[in-house]
Amino acid sequence: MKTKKLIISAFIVIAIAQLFVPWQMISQQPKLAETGVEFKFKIDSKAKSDNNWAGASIRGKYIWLKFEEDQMEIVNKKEWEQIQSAYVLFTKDSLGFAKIEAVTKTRPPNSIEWVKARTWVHWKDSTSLHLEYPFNMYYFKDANPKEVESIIKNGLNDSLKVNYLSVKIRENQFFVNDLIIDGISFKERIEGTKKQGKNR
Amino acid sequence: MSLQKDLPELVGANIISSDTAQQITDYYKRKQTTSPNRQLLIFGILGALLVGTGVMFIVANQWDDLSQAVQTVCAFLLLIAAQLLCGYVILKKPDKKVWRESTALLLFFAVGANISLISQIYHINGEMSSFMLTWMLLTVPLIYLMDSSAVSLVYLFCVMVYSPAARYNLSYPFEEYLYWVLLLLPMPHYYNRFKKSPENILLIIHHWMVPFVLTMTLGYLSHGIKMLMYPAYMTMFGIFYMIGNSHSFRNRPLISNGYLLIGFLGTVISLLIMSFKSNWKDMAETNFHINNLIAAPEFICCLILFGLATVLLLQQNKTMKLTEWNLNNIVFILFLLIFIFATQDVQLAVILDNLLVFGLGLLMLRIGSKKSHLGVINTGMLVIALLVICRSFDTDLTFVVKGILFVLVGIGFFLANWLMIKKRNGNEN
Repeated sequence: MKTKKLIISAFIVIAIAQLFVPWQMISQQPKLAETGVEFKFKIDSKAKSDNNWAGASIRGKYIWLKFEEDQMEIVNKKEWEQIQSAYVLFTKDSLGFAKIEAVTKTRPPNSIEWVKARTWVHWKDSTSLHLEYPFNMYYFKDANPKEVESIIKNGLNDSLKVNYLSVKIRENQFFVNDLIIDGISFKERIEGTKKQGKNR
Repeated sequence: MSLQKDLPELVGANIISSDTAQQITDYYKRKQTTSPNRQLLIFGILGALLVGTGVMFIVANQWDDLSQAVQTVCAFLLLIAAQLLCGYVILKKPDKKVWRESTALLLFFAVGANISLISQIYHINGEMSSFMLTWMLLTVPLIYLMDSSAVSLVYLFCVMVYSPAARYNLSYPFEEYLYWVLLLLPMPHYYNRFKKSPENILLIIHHWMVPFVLTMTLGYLSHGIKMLMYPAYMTMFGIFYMIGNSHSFRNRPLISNGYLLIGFLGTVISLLIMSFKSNWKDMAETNFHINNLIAAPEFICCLILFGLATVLLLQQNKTMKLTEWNLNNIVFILFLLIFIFATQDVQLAVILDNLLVFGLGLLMLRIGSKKSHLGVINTGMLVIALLVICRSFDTDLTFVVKGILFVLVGIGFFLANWLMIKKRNGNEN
């Protein structure tokens, strides 16, 4: 009987822990939106993608984005070939766009403005370390893929337009604010096309 | 039960007494009530897996159309439902094995699914290793609280997946070694089950899962001195082979003795791999100075495994003379000697390794012949045939030599089987 009581008590503790972990993950999100440092990641309008437009491609309900700041110059290729991920520390330029401050193999000790990114070195190129950020996929839940395709095709093919992803970062955690195409919020554009569709 | 049907006939023919017949009937009745229903257990576990997958597919169909709040509620409902089921089983059906195993398994997957869903719904960034670690730590108590071997099995498999994730995504120092701590956590349950119910089907699967997981993950200890992983693996396979040959496993059918089969196959395959000179090429570049070795994880792993293997070897052969020891049991020591030779002369090591494989094959032929066991004889022939196939890849042998070797092995196969069948027929007549 005593053992059964012990088992029940232990099970209750474990069950609470099992609920607490996901709850904590959710509760940290608003805090992240408040306390994270905002960075604007410029979309690379010169980069070729799988589709006919530059800097992004649509895969399912995600827009895969290619950023301008996703490479770092390296001296020793062999040193970076052996690892698959690294810590990227960011800073801002005069216009508020994200710049890579440093890429390290160990966790930056006195900063919150970093994320862990996947790293790879091209076999032909021994001078650049390529970085793949965890926020390079933008999720468009309610939008029609055709509309999304037309928006990013018109916006990203023009290198004079300002396109960026606004992200709040705090110690490897991130919160995607918005995708800005040609200076206009992607969310607002989608809302606009939805309203137009209803009015018709 | 056919024997029970035949009992009246056996009593009638005065082969057994009516008392013995009664005792046999009582034994089967007792066995039926005490032993858990294996079929029900398997289908219970399969049912839990299928229901879980089915629910996920149904929800996934409309998932994108649900709001964030509804998605979150769905994710938590799944977890809470599994928890309530487990709670109900602990309170009301603690003795029902099928209920315990299937609900514990459902909760195990519900915890993983819940964390993944919350991460997906809120776009939370995370490492594969930290996800696996959280999932494993939150579910490992179920093995003991629900006394669940099914959870222990899937836990071991998931821990195996965690190992490379921790090895290559080092978020904090020594994260990769945490895998070994996680691997040890279900071992008291495994040992306990082994003592209490050695014939349990889930325990038998453990006898495969544990050596399989160790084989798949030992290599992740490899850092700077990769070559040391060969004696490490060889010693580990030696340990498996000795466990498979121990008193508790020796008389088991091969299907429930994963240690023996993985140990034997691992030893032969590793020896065959090392029979190629090209696989020793890194020996020249490796610095085996003691200062370099002392802190290397590969070296520490080798020492621990070698210590364990030696203890096992001495324990198993304490009543035997040195000359009576089985070659299969000391392959790891011989390979270690070959490895030490290789630090001086790789060519000699390659020759000795080839001789060792050939010796193993011959030994199996001898054992098979003594026991009149065709399976053992053919395994011995297969080991020799594999060695010949490996040597046929070596470019320094002419086609004629390669051809003669194949012909000889072919004749050997034919002769061994023919002689054995002839010997058996002679014994029967």
